[in-house]
Amino acid sequence: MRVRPLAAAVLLAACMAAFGFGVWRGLGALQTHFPKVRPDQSHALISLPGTIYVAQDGVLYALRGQSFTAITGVSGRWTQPTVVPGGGGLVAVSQTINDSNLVRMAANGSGRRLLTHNANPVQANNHWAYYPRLSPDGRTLFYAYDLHDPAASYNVTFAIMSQPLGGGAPTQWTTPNPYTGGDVQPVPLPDGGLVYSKWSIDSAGHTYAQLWLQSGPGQAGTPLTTPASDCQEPALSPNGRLLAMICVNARSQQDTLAVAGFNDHVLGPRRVFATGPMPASPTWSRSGSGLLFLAPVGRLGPFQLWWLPHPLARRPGPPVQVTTGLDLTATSAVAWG
Amino acid sequence: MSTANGQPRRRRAGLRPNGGGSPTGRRRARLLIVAGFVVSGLCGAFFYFLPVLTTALHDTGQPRPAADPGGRSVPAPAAGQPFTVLLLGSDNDRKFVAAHILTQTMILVRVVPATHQVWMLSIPRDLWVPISTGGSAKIDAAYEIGGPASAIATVEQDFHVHVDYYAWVGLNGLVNLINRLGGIDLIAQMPVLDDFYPADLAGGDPYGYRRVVVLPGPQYDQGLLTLEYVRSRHGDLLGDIARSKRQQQLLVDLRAAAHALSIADLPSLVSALNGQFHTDLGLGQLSSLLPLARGITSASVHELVMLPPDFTYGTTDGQDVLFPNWPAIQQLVASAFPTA
Repeated sequence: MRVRPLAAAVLLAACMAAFGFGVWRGLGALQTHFPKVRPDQSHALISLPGTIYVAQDGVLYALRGQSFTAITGVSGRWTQPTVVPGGGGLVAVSQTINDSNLVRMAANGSGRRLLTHNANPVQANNHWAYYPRLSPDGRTLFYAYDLHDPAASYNVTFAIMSQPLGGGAPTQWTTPNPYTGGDVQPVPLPDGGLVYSKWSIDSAGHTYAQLWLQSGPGQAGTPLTTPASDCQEPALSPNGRLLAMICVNARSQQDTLAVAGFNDHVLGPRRVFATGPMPASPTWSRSGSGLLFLAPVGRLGPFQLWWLPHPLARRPGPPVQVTTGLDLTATSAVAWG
Repeated sequence: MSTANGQPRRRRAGLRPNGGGSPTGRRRARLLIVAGFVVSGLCGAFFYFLPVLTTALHDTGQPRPAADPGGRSVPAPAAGQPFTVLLLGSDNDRKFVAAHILTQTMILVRVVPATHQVWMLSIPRDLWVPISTGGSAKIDAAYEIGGPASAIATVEQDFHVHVDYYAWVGLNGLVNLINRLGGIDLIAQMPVLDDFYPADLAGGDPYGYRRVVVLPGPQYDQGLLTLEYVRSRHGDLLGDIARSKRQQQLLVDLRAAAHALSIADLPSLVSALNGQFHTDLGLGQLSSLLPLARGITSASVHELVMLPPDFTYGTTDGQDVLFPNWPAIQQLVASAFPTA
């Protein structure tokens, strides 16, 4: 069959145009993308026991087996879930543009009850509440709360507060250094004491964090780590004998996940794990046999969930990637119920 | 085959599927077809990179305006030679007309390509200095008064340093750029709390304030949160100095993010910076910086920050300012930047 010259020319021109369009599209396809999916549209790569709660884009998700379920909606901008001991559900942070509150809820996200009342029509009277943690007996709620300095309105710093979970007046535990961001990330101890992260600025202008130990509200605390090690985000093992933490090298903009022995008064030497770039927010498993933490895959990108089994074994294995394609909130430690 | 008038139909080379015609004609036809595809592909690439070309024409290689009192008396450094760039950043919070805005960020950057070393010196915006066009003011007003030329001339005259190039970025563009990257990995060095953060971008009120909080530690942030981290200054003991340090940190983090990019990302990156970026660096010089940036490690970036006694706090004209201690500052500058 013969093809008429005009038709052939049109066909060739169409092919050429399609080729040019293909080049345009092909170059577009070469763009760098960090694919990001919602957890409930994804599956974990491995199965871990119990229920693990994570936050992404203001929504809390429960991971059971390898499946995620959203337990809150987007409204509320939820983050930092923590488990109430004894099956008492969760406490999490709900944020708005000018304040955040602690909210208690059942493990499936239902039956929410406001534990703090930080919203105020006068902007200057709003407050933040973050990092909820329950005492081991589940009766006392610890959290970071921003103090307003009546004499210096710019001096807004976090202090650690506590209040009965069932309701009652809050008690201020710590006195933050002014203009430093303050004290955050409380870890209540079985003996009634508290470990937390305290920020300071030295005379050379260097900002650093230290793990700090305090025996009671208003007591003078003692540092557990040095300024040079810049350690934060403490996580106490279930038996209370190990502290996991994140230590930052500000010079290189990298950090490490470290574990040290703890005898209620001092820390032992830190054992550092080569866990790749930017590990964050460690959490011990319920049995204390391993650590969950958040970190990007490779050099950069959104944070995924990682599992470090048996960190104190003579030869601990490498961390195992638990999720892929997510963008988990790195400042929200996972809760393991 | 013949036409109606009996004349033989003229064969057109290349238009028959069996490739009829003379060998020369067939070769020419094939060449035409190949050329057609090449041109078509180039057109596809041209339109893909059109935003880059447009930006290159409008926003790069800009000559320094005549406001520079001395003009460019020193030739631009040759390729591969060390050079100094003045990075300028403005949060045009809609209080000012576009061409006359303050520069909240002024960072002198010295790049030594041969050794992949970089020095960064943040200049506090509240530094009270002689302005190149006359009189004294906070240094962030130099750009407002005379644009990049005035800002460069002021820095050169006061800091005794030669500036080869400048680059200006609007902070809206920075937000868009980070969002285009998908986000940026950074380690927030401290909890950042600010009850007097401008409500211009998120609140839509250039004269209002809102509360912001950036929690500490490693995180993957979008543009607005990153901007809050590098723009907030009230809740920090070091105020503007600490903000300068965080801005230097962001530059290092952006350089790390650039490792993951390819040339195919350029159009969307420049689109993200639409109208929020201009420089007197040419496109060729800018593109030569990309491989250079990949060779720079965190360890080879040296961050310099002015601290007391480089300046003293004070008040003049009803403004809180920093009075410079020029001998100390010039000694600091000379440690990393060649004098003018």
